[in-house]
Amino acid sequence: MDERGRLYFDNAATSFPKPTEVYDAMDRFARTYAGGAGRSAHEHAIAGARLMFELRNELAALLGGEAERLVFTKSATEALNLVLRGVLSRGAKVMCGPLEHNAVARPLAHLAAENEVVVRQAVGDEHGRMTPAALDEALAAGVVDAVVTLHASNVHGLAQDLSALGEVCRQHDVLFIVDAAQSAGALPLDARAMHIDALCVTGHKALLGPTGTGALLLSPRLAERLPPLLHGGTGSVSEQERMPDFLPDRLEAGTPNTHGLAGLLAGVRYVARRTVAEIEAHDRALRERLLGCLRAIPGLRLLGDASGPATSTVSFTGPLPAGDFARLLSERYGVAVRAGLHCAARAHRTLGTFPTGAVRLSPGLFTPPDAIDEVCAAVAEIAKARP
Amino acid sequence: MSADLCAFTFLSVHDVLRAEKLLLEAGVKLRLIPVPSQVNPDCGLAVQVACGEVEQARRVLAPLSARVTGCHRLEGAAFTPWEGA
Repeated sequence: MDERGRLYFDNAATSFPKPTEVYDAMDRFARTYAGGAGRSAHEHAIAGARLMFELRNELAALLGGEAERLVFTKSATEALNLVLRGVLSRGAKVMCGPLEHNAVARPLAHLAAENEVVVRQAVGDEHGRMTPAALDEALAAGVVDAVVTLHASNVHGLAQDLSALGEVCRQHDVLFIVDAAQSAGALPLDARAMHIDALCVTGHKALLGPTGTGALLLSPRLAERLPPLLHGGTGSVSEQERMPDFLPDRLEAGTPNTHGLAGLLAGVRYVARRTVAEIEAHDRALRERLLGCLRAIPGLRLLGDASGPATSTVSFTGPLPAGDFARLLSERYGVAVRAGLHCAARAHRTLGTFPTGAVRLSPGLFTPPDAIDEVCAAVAEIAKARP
Repeated sequence: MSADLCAFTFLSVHDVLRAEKLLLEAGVKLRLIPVPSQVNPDCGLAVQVACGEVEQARRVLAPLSARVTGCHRLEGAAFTPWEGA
């Protein structure tokens, strides 16, 4: 790996580098086949259709759902908009978590303003993780149509107990919508066992695919009724001006991003081959090494320094503004990090770091352990120089 | 493939490829063809098999029966609905 990849600590934004086979698959598909997947019977269209068929099957298997209820989107954000706008009718009541990314917070704010949707925020622990007991109490206290929350925080990496939260939602017969943008490919997910009605994932983070790819995996009860966000061509029942009523076509209008999906398929296969359990253990080791080092630096406040399932992402605040910290890390040491609010103002409010935000370090699958030490030493030097 | 040709049509391309997988695993020879224009002026795919294998194909495709929209036989240059021999 070259120096740029070695010190790239912004994998929570998008993973880099990707496995070599991801680049190869995209290049090969783009050079060999045209688009128009499934729209014709020539080899180009069939190749695109096969690619999507294989990815639909393999990604659904990785996420614990049925391929027939998995639809492709361009991002987790699109998947979340699709499901939130589809299920939250006028006056609906929804509960979200304390750590939500704007991919959830902004659609909810829009629906609250435009559609009189009532948004409540669940009570979390000191790190903002929802607790099953508090959720149970909240759902028992009043009618809620849906619960929406992220799996792992994009700010501090800590993950929520989806199995327990999903069970609470099941007991109260409430839709359970999950933003797994940070965790898909990095932490175990089983939509069926976790009683998840809508699992929203992006392809370009821990699933190791390119940007512009994502997916929405639906439960049977939601798959039956979720209306489309986009309307357009599907290659099926073209004589109708209404969208088809069957999946995946109902929710997949427009020419699909086949070369991007070719890269995602390679990424998903890499993850499946290496296994999520092994990747989780790898990330855990990076996280512990990073936290262990950062704890020893005077003047830092670490976010999410707690036990429990987590990605490799950690954040901190220090003796100088987060943006300055990030700039110095980049300019003096060549370290790529992200500072500020991380598109998650709600999370920073919860963690007491709003509006200044924090410095986020997110090593990735190909980060060598000694790079953790090098970045930590850089943080220590900056912190020491600016008491 | 026999000169007596039949074609199954499905709701979606995903279903066509599910059918292809099932049929190939069961040893049924097939070919993916454009949806016959006499059936539907659409731009999708259909599964062509020898008419002599239609009954076996129906058994293999039983798990997908709700997604099969028709079976058609090539007569002359046109496919027409066909319930089987």
